[in-house]
Amino acid sequence: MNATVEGLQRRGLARGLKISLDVLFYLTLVVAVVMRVGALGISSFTDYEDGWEHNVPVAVGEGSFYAHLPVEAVHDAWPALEYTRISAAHGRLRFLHYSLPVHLGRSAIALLFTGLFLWGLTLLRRILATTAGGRPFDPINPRRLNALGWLVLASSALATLLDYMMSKWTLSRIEITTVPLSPPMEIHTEWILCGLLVLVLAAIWKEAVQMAEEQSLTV
Amino acid sequence: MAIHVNLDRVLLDRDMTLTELADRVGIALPNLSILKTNKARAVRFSTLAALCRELGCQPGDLLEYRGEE
Repeated sequence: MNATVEGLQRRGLARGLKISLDVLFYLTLVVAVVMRVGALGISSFTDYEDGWEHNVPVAVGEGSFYAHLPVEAVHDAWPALEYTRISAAHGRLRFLHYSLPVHLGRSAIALLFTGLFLWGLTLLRRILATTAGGRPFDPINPRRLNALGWLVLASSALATLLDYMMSKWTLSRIEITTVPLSPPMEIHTEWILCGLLVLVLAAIWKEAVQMAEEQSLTV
Repeated sequence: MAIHVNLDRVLLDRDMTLTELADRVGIALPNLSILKTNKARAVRFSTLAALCRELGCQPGDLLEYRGEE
């Protein structure tokens, strides 16, 4: 009886998590997709006079590869700020523009990443659905985790590539006379680590499925 | 599987059904069916002991080695 109660409690946790993910999924679907598409349609005509915000990663100085860290400048003098000499820096360049194709392009990219996020959420929800149903070692779950891991890694690579291409394209078209800016290749190390972690979990889960099957066929 | 389970033959000799045996041994019928149809991957000693007790036989009467088929 205690094992049954414990089992129900564990499934309650999975069920609770699934409900949270369901809420997040539909909230993202409504807010990010529906409102963004609606806002895109409206803003394409109403905000034309004020312009749309464009922001791209930029770098100045040495090197063009950066891990995605919240560091705004790299300097080689420490600790007194008065003696700091900035040799390189990177950040984001934000400005208003009036190019509708650029506005539409950015919105399409944002929708693409929202779609990838929703896909990842769907995979997680399906894993939790089987767990809440008492079947955590369903043979399809390792495949779902594997897909999720590769999705995270691919999204990270895509984000890096698109940011670089957008930055390169933008900087080639605008004139900045004061500071020489270059497009950086920002590596999202936290996404890469997350993706690899999920792939490792998928491999472990696959072994667990084999062990569960072996155990279920032990009389 | 190299080990073959002769449960159906022993049940026939004792004139007992699988359901009766499952009730006496205290194992779920689907699990006993897995054993009878040679789909089981492993058998616990406690299960083997219970089967031998209720069927009045030795483990060798139930299990037969047939080599890799």
